[in-house]
Amino acid sequence: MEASTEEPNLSPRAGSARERDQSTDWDLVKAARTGSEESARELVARHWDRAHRAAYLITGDRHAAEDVAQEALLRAIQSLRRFEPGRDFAPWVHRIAANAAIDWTRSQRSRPSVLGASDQSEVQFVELETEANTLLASALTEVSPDDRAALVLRYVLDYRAAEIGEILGASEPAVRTRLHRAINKVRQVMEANDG
Amino acid sequence: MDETGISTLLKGTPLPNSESARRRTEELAAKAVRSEPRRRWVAVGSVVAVVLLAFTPPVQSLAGDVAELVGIGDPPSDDFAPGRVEVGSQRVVATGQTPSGEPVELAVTSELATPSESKSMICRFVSFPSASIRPIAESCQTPQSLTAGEPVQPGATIGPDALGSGQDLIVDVRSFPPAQHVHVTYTVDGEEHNANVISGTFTPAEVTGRRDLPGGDVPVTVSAAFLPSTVLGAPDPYEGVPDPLDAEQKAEAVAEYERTKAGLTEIVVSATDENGDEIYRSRLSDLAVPLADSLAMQR
Repeated sequence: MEASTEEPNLSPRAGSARERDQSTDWDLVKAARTGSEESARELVARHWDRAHRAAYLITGDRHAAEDVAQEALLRAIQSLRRFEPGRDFAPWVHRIAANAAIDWTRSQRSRPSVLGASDQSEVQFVELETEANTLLASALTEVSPDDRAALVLRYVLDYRAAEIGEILGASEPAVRTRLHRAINKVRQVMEANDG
Repeated sequence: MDETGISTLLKGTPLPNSESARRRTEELAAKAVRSEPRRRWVAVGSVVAVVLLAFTPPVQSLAGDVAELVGIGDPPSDDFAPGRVEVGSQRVVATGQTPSGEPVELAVTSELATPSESKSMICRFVSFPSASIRPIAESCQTPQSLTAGEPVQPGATIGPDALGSGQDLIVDVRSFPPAQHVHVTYTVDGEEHNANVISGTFTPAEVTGRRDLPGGDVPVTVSAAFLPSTVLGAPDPYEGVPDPLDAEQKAEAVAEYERTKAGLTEIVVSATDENGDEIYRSRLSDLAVPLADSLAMQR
């Protein structure tokens, strides 16, 4: 029997979990556009962890991280009709998430009464288990939201500087400057607190 | 510590459990794609219905029903940030339509902003029940802060893309003392326009169920005005400004945005009492920063 060249069966009513696991993001996007709820769920499931991790490391707030990850994924899902073939789904989600996280963090510093502000105006990481993680969290609070986002995109999501520039709307040299500054700051604070 | 070490630490940072948020997002995503084909059918059905009923007297009452999907005081059609924190009762304080006819609900809800301290917050938000759009949260304040400070406290946000650029700038207003009517006008290229406004009055105690909270039994008016975001012009006040920005540079960027944005010169919020007499008026010249933040996030 010849291998099928047909696209995976991802109609709104069909498609096994195994088939979805083997599908590309683009397959899922196409199916979700036609109303496949399972494909939409699968897109969220695939990209939740990284979007949430990025949002948490930028905002330092568990509730904000959930909100940001949810907003990023839902906005991407709601805009699937604008998604172009050949593009990657993940950078799209990460662009929304990173910018939303930066915006949230800025808003906490300038407008403490807006949504989600609670009573905290500073980044506060929780549930850290090791001394190194605690030192890192402390150091991250000393880094500006923009620099923190660059750091997360580079060292957590593994984007190159040029790609980070596209995501954050900055030039590649500016991203390199941010990364250099952020790394130095993190290293400096960690070493000072460790001593 | 070198870059590899920092990368390892960042990737290994323990995260709070977000399982329920992920599942909730999956369900909302499924709902979003499910509603797409259905909305097209609804649209077609609406056109047919209008054609058939336009020549009959009941068309006016039917058109009125569209905007009132739930009653005042009822729970809103969509939950506000479900599960984000512990959410208390929710109720609709006003309903209406956006300028293009999208039904909209203005609702308030209580939530525990910091569960360990059981501190009540009142959040107001707008939702669009017939569209697959997540409710837009405007702001949260304690009952006490709702009645503190300036009599009119405005904010602004950019609405969802799905609403279109003709109506997606939402100005949110908190008025205390409460007003009978809230008017929002905006001036573009010297011409004044009236914005579509919906308003409702409530007491925080109605929402929190706690009259012992400071400010809990004081009535407050909340409003949402819909303006076309096209009046804003320049999308990002930080665009073209050298990086990194310090506070002074950002201030300059915002000032530059003020000078170069499209013809919007001012937004005026005024409120009148039951006799139609104006009880206060506020010119929103300070909306530039929140609008800029919102725009920068959305684009």
